[in-house]
Amino acid sequence: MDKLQSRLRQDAAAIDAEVPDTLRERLDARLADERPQMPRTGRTARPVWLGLAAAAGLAAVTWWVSTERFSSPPAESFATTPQFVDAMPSPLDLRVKPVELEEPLEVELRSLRADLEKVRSSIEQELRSTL
Amino acid sequence: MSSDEQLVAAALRGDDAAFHALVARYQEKLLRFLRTRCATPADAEDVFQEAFLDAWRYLYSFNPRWRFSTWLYRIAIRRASRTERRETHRVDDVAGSDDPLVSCMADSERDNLWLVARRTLSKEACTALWLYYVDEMPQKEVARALERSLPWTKVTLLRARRRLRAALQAGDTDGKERKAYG
Repeated sequence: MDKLQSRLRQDAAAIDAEVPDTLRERLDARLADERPQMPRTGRTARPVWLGLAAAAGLAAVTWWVSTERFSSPPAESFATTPQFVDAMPSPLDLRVKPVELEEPLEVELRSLRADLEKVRSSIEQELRSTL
Repeated sequence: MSSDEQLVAAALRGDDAAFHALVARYQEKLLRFLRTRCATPADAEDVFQEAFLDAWRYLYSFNPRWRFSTWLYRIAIRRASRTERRETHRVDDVAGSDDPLVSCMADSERDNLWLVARRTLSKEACTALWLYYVDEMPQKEVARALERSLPWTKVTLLRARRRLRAALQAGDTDGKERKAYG
């Protein structure tokens, strides 16, 4: 132990630490009035009213939102042809041939049916030749 | 003689005398510490009372992994900190013989090192020094009591010793400058 340490201990001992009788009596009286608090078991039980209040609040907010009338802005047409376009002479003479397109799914279906028919025929031929 | 843990267990079984035995075992040590920690002797007595009451109320939460003394000091330090936050009287505003701690000492103790420590060090550093050197707590227990890390505790103790030595060497017994750190 060095000098500083021993000095610290020595000087600490010089500080009066006698517990006054009045202090001890007050403490004993308060200790007698209290008991150790039992630990809570399991999860902390929240008050039921807290859950009900939260549910009521949520219901109120939901009702308010649903009854709130929001006026929709008038529908604006975004794609309108300005009037002057119709009057503009077209510099190009576009000759467009309309293309007749069949339904793509029907075309695909017909192809598949044709393929299945081919497979069926080839299997029948093989079976006949085998048997 | 029953160990602290045995007394705690007995107190929890309803043996009030066991808790009174714990109070008797620690009352002087705790009061002496609190007189150094708190601004005034009156505050020290209030914190003393509240610390033991809290220990009694929350005895079920005492974990036997801890030392009872560490747990008790931790409670006391928290109580003292709460009192300090409400305090308007600050230890660093006093100088020399105006320090209330002087009233807890004999007249010949005007050069008491703890008066210098109170003026020179932060409260936490002063507390760490007390717990380690006076109450002989291991550094790990000091860290627990102060709710600080072990490295912090080690560094704080080292710095506190250096500052105290420097203050003594400079003859700074009436120094007003408070070097807070920590």
